[in-house]
Amino acid sequence: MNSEPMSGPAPSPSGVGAAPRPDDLPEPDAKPAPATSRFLWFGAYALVVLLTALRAPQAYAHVSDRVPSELSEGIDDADMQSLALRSAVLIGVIVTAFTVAVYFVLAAMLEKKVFTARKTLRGRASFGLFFLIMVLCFVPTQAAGLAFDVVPRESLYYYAYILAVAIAAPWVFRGVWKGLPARKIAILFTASIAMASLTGIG
Amino acid sequence: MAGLPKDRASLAAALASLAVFTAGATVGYIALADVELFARATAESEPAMSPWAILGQNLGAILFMFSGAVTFGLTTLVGLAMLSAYVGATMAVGIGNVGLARLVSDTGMYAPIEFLGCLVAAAAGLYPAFTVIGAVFADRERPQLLHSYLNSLYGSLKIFALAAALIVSAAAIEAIVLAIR
Repeated sequence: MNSEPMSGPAPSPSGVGAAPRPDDLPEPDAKPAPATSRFLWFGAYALVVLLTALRAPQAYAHVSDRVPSELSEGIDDADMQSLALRSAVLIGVIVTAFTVAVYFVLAAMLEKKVFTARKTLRGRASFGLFFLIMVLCFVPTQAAGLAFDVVPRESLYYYAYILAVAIAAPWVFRGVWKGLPARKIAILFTASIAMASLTGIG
Repeated sequence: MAGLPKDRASLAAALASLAVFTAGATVGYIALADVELFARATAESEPAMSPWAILGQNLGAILFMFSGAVTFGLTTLVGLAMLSAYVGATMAVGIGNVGLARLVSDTGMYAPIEFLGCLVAAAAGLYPAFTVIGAVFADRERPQLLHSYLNSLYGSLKIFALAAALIVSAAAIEAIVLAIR
């Protein structure tokens, strides 16, 4: 890997970027496609938000059962309490959608700056490590919460699963990093665990 | 309107505002759809707010909607959800007490313009966030995020100016309607 960074013709001494680039060299900044195809990002985001919205009735029932009695005595109108709780659940769904968007943006940036490897699927679609972590952390947990009517974050299994994803996901890309120095591999796993943990707290 | 941004980020911001507003208004409406408790309270007509007070209140609301320009959209989303739930609940109570026809004839001249003004202001608040998201997912290796964010603020301000114009027009119409009545 000792290729000279400047293997083309040397720029003319007078500078000012006058050196013409030979046509057969690839443009240095010509479309290095992102690791994860855009439609996969948007599709996964839509799926996570849909699952969150579908769980809203469950969240409403969950908080309705837990309104402290001293608070509900202060609200002597059941309809107003229902309005407040429904608005709170709606805001919860919206803030969740916002948070997931921020995590996806972070993950996409990590795939551009830290670990750009990809797995190519059928056709031209491909995905990177941090997309895999986001999907595995959000989709099965939300789907399980919906299917079994449970709140994943109240279960220890949820956190065990998140940690398992964080440690297992980089192995899908082992071929890319196995020759790298230990320090880089450590950074990769740290980023992986950090992104997975983020999904667990938000 | 010349000069308004016509990119995908502005379209996405407008659609997101509309979606949140619709969801919030529906939630607020459903929560109070069959309430008759307020009938007595509204029967005695409460003292009407002055047009200036209404204008001030609505300008405050659209400033809140716009605040997402510096919070990556978060305050816009939360504020819009609260505002639209309030609008939905108010509509439910209004329709329950005076009926849809009366509500439309009383407020139909200006209330839709006010709602539209809030939606446009919310789109202005979300526009910078959507611009940055677009830059992150674009097919470029090194997205210039700060650069695209700062650029989008100018477009955002133009959208907000449209919202302010809508709110001021609505207040003028409301003042005329109240004066004639």
